[in-house]
Amino acid sequence: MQILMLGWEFPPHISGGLGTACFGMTQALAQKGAKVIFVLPRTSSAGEPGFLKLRSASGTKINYDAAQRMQMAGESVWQDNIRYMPIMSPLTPYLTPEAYTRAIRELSKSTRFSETTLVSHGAFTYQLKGGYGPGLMEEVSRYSRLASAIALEEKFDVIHVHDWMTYPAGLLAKALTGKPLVCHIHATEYDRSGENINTQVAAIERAGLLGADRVVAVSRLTRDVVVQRYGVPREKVTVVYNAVTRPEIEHHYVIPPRLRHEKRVLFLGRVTYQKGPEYFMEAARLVLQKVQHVRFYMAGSGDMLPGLIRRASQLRIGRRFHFAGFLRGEEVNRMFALSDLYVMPSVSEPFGITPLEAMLYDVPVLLSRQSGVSEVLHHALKADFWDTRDMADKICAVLQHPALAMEIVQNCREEMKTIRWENAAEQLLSIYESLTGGN
Amino acid sequence: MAAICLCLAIHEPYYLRRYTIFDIAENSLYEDDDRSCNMAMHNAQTCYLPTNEILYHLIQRYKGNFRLALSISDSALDLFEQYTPEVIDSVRALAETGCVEFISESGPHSLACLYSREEFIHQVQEHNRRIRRTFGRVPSTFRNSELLYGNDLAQTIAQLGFSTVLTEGSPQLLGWRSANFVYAASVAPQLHLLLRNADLSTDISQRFSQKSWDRWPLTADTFASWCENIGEQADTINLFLDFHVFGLRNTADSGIFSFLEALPEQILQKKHLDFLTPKQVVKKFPVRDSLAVAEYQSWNDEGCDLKGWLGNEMQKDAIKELYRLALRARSLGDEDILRDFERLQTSDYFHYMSTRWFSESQPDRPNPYASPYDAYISYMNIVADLGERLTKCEETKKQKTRASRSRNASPAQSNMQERTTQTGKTADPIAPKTTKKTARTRAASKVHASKRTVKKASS
Repeated sequence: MQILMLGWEFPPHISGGLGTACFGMTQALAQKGAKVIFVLPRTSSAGEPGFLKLRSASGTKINYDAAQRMQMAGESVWQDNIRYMPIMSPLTPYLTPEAYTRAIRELSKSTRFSETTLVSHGAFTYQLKGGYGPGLMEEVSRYSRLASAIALEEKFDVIHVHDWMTYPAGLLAKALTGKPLVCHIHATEYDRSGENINTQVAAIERAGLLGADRVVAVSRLTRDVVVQRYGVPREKVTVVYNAVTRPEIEHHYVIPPRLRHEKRVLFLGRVTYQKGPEYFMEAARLVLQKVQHVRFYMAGSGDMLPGLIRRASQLRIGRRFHFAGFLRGEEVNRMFALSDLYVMPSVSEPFGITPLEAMLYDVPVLLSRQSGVSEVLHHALKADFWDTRDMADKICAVLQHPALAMEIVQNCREEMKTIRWENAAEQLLSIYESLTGGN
Repeated sequence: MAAICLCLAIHEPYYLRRYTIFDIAENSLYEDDDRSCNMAMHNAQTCYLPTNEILYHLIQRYKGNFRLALSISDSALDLFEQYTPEVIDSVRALAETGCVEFISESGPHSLACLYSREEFIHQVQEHNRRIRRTFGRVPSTFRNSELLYGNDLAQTIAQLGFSTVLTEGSPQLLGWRSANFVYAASVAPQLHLLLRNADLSTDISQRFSQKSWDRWPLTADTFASWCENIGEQADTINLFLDFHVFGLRNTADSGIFSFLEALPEQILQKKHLDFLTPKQVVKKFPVRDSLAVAEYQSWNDEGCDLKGWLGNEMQKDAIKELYRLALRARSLGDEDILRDFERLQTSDYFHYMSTRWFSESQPDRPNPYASPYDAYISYMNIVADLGERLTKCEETKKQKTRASRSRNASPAQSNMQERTTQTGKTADPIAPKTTKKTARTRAASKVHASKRTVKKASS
């Protein structure tokens, strides 16, 4: 089985859970004998894993013939599905109005941010930046052409695309090659932005999901969103849960003696509306009324951070509530290892891999019921994100009763054995097989 | 000649509220009254009332040939008295036929025997008294909550005056033996053991509604013929069932009620079969062997052990935390605190914390919590509040004694002082007969004392 996989992130170029998920998934697929060609906006020479073929879309040659075919195929795809205007826009998926104006200003300074390069004999190419910077829409549009050019060069059986940035490319490649398209949805626009959605992004999502031969959702929660918001037929959507890879080298982190009598409660994630950081702070306020010797850590950055720092000082809990900033690699592991409880109070979380990572360090977790991962983790504490009293009650219980923490950790450790990428890969392979007719 | 010994256990728990850390010391309302009421009403309508009616008519029809035994937990009695007294009336009607033996148990359906022997003895004695008060019967047979039994308990049960105890016929206990005979406890030879026939009992309690079972649908005729086959080499076939089997675990449309109605006729048709209660069984049949039950066992479906109630750290932690308060609660003797303390011992609450059980709860005994962890958290908060209340009551009591001691100088107080010392003496947990009286005396002395203080203040 050969798979052309189109993605936007891949380690070491990550900014969220998408890259981590793609890595685990492709690794498990490769172990099952599938050949994966993974197309990224751009790759660096460093750190290419051996188990798949990583290709950079940036700089791929598009010759005249291919451009013509794309034009034909593309027009019908776009006209049928999306009213798409290729304008210069500083849109990124995780942007608020204030950040948007800032980005607009920066955009106007740099007049051209990606160059069309003419190569010999009427062939041409684009340079892509990757990431989620300003001009994302433009990049998405160019990525679709470059990735399709790769699709015309490579041999494969199925096209598998991850999240809306790659959906246009997937649709175009499907129209050009006639191969079946699997659209994997890790997060919908409604998860990212609540009701204030970006209509352009939502339109691309709808087109991709409706145009796909099969949709893969990361949780039942996401499946319901896809079915209700985009009208995708339920039977077309399959739920494949994410998993987590156990790191091979396990570091042991020692808790500094001066902190040993205290307990640490951790929030780790983007400090944005979607992740519910303000509910974490409210729960912390309630906990601090009842329990001493506890510290709260908020690790991550985002548009809500300044407001929350102000709020912490207003509540006079700053002495016990710390902002750790954005953590990377080693620091993240250390933070997990030193925590006594990990809290994920997300307002809307299609899946959420971080609780699984916390569990790798034997940290008990408290999840919002509005998260996909709570569907697979039966031995985690759960609370509705708005019910901060309930959340605080559970935090207090974990801090006060060692028996509870022990029991959760023990049962989670058992449960983690069943949450493996191998299982996800098997499900994906059977989806591919059903689409290609078993060859 | 073999006996069919049918014993039905009635138990309903009070449902606890989701009690958070923020409720501690703010309110001490532990029970979810709405839910408890709804469940009591629902279960009365679908299970207790129709079944009792059928049983009553069967007893009338077979004029003493159809007999059974019943046990009722205190929490069930409380619930019925509070919300559906007609269930009590229907049980009383059964009692008056004289064909029903009442079996004793540890009142609040507790696991007290494992943690506090004094508490256990007290509960059993109280429960006996309550059964006599309510139904006019003195039990001579004992069944512990969840059919819990072990060697360790035999002496205590015998000393409490029981001649028979019911327990599970677990495979590890029986080995090559058969459950269908009367046994004696190895450590207390005067105590008879009756063992549950697990196969036939589960046929009715679990498999009856299972359409995948190869013997489904089970008719009274077939069941009676199985009993007859076994009866050829047996003295007694012990069917110990949860009362929920009729109408709840097996719903009315499964045909369980017509099964029950037809069963006596089919059984009595067979030449060698007869209905007897535990008391009659041990009188009629000789003891065949003595049995040692080294480890506690229960009627848990899996392994007949205690893991369903005390299998994980949370369960053990919670129950230890509760019984840590036992001595203090008993010696304080405050009626409200004692009632809550007893109710919190109900074994169901520990079952809700089982992580093993989690995926497969019985629909007729639903776990009100979303997860075992929630059950534990709520329960621990409640126990913490109970502890706070105890401390507070003890302090006020201390203050009162101190106040009365300082007043002791005046001779007019001597009468009062005598009363307080009496109270102190009788608050022993093993002497429960006097507790009620003392409580009343204390209430009287409280009034007395408060009047005094008022007088003193005004003067």
